[in-house]
Order: sequence, then structure tokens, then C-alpha cells
Amino acid sequence: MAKKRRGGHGGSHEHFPEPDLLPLMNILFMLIIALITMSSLLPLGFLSSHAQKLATGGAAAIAPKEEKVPLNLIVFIMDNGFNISVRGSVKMGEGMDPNNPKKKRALIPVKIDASGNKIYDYEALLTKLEGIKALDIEEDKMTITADEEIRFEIVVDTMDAARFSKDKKPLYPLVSFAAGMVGA
Amino acid sequence: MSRDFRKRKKKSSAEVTMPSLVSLIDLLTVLLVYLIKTFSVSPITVQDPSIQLPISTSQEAVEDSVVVMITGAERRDADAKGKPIMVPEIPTIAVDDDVLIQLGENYSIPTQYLERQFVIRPLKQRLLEVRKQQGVTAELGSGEGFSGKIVFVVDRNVPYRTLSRALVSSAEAGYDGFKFAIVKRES
Repeated sequence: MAKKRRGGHGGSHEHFPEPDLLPLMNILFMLIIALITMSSLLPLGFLSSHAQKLATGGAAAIAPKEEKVPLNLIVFIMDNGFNISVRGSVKMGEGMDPNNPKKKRALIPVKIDASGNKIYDYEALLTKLEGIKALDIEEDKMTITADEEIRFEIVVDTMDAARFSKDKKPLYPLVSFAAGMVGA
Repeated sequence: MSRDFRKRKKKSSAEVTMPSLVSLIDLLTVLLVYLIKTFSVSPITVQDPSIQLPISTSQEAVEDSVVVMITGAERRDADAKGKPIMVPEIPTIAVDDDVLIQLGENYSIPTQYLERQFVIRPLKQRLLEVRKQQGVTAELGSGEGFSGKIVFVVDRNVPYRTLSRALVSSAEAGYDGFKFAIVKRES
């Protein structure tokens, strides 16, 4: 009896000691470290666009019941700011660009920060696009085109600015791209 | 009272008990399962040190698709002291990790690769091959047709000149559902 108490576990339990869990823990630790290293910690997502589909159907195609002038909204990202084209008419700023006398001033010119970097005015672009939305509230497509040297980051920021209005209503979430077309 | 204390002290010094690791192992197993689950959910990971993705407010989820990658002109590295630095790198265009062309200075596309000014020939040809393979796989498999979706993993500094040519080349190969990889930011 006294022997049993000293042993803690009695009888047959003495033949099956608790397994050493340290190697298992080492393996688990290694696996966790490997997974954390391999997995990207950045929250990766997608930004969708849609290419313009070619119109099909010739003379026999059924004509729409109601004649509606398409908005045909194009945002031009220039090195001096944004220009906007609505229903084929390109809106630009007034006068010539003080930094480049050969070019007209942009409708929404870039701002220059203290260190001389160009800052695109996405707030002003959003305000303009909200105004354009009033012309055709059903339209949700726009085309983006840019100067050759405009960085991809600026294109993404422009798409972000055009996606929702200030009160979080969809503005122009469907974006297509045009190449070799500059509204200056 | 003092006798009890002495008795307890004597007992604890005599028996050095191993702490129970079972609860810790439970915790580690749960963590491991969580990590494996998270790891398997994301079909696309961007590990290339020469790509800095743009940040966007878009909340769209990641999907598996054919990936066109345009790397940047700088690569993340570490100096002798382990401090992160950016070192120059030659930008490339790759499809599913298979490098097709090396870009020139300022991300320019060598003229021998261009077709009708806007189409990058090797990219279009590779995508046509992938499309053909996808068609064969779809016929053999569940019959899910060609979706035309394509993922662009593009460095944030790539100019529109290069990006637009890659988009035109993809559209020429029938891939017109463009999706750009971004790093999510709360709006």
C-alpha cells in the first residue's frame, strides 16, 4: 500500500510512462515557423477591370427602343493632372500649363508638395465624377487612358477614386483601358 | 501551520515534476491547423522580392487564374548588417513564373518583341498556348469553359506604356477579364 502511494501511479501504469512530448513540440514549432515564413502576411486582393467588348450585329441587329446618347466617359491621366471626356467632348483646364507652355492646363491639375513631388488630386476628381454621374445615373462604366510614363500605382488610385461616391454609392466601378490615346 | 509549510517545502524539493505539455500542444495544433487552412485558401502568393504591389481600397477576393507578372526595376535585399535595401534589377515579363522577356531601360519593350506597335508577341503566343491547354483541361475535366480571366501581378512603378501593351496582348489572346493583384487597404 505504502509502495503504491510513493509511486504516484499504481500497478500496471508504472510500465507505461508518459511519452516524451518534446520532439513532437519541436516538430510543431518548426512547422508553424515554416508556414509563417512561407505565407505572405500582406492582405492580397484583386482589382477588376473589364475590357471593352466589340459590338456585334450588322444592319439586321435589333435597334434599341429608346435612343440614348452614351456617356462615353474617359478619364485621361496626364503628367500634369486629369482631363475628362464626356460624350466625345474633352474637358481641359483654361490657359496653358505654366510648367509646360506647349501643353494646355489640365482640368484637375496636379499639386506640388514641399519636396517637389507631384500629387494627383483624387478628391477633386471624385467631385467631378459625382457631377458627371448626375448626367446619367445608370452608367457605371468608364475608360482610363494615361500618358506613357504614368505609373501603375496612379492608375490604381484613379480606379479607387472612381469606384464609389463620397456617400459610398457605386460611381464607375467598371473600368476599361485604352492604349495610345491621350487627351491633351 | 509552520509544520505544514515545512512538509510542503520538503515534498516539492523532493519531487521535481515535469509541467504538463498537453495543453501547450493543443494550442500549437490549433495554431497549425489555422495556418494550414489560411495557407491553402489563398491561390496566389507574391513572393518575388522585385515586386511592390500597389495599395487599393478594392475588397475583391483572390481567384486562381493564369498570372502575368511584370517585375520592378528594384529588388528588396539586405546589406551586410541585415538592413533592408533596394538593389537594381532587370524588369521582366513572365507568365506563370516562366520568364518570357527581359525589359530594357525604363521598362521599355525591345522592338523585336513588338507586333503592330502595341502587341508583345511572346506574351500573346504564350497566352494562346495556355488558352489551348486550358481548353483541353476543361474538355477532360468538369467541362467548365474558358473564362477569359487573367491576373496581372504588376509592380507599382511600371509605366502605363508597358502595362497597356501587356493588356492589349492579353486581350488579343482572348483574355479580357483583367484582374490586378493589389494589397488591400481599408477605405
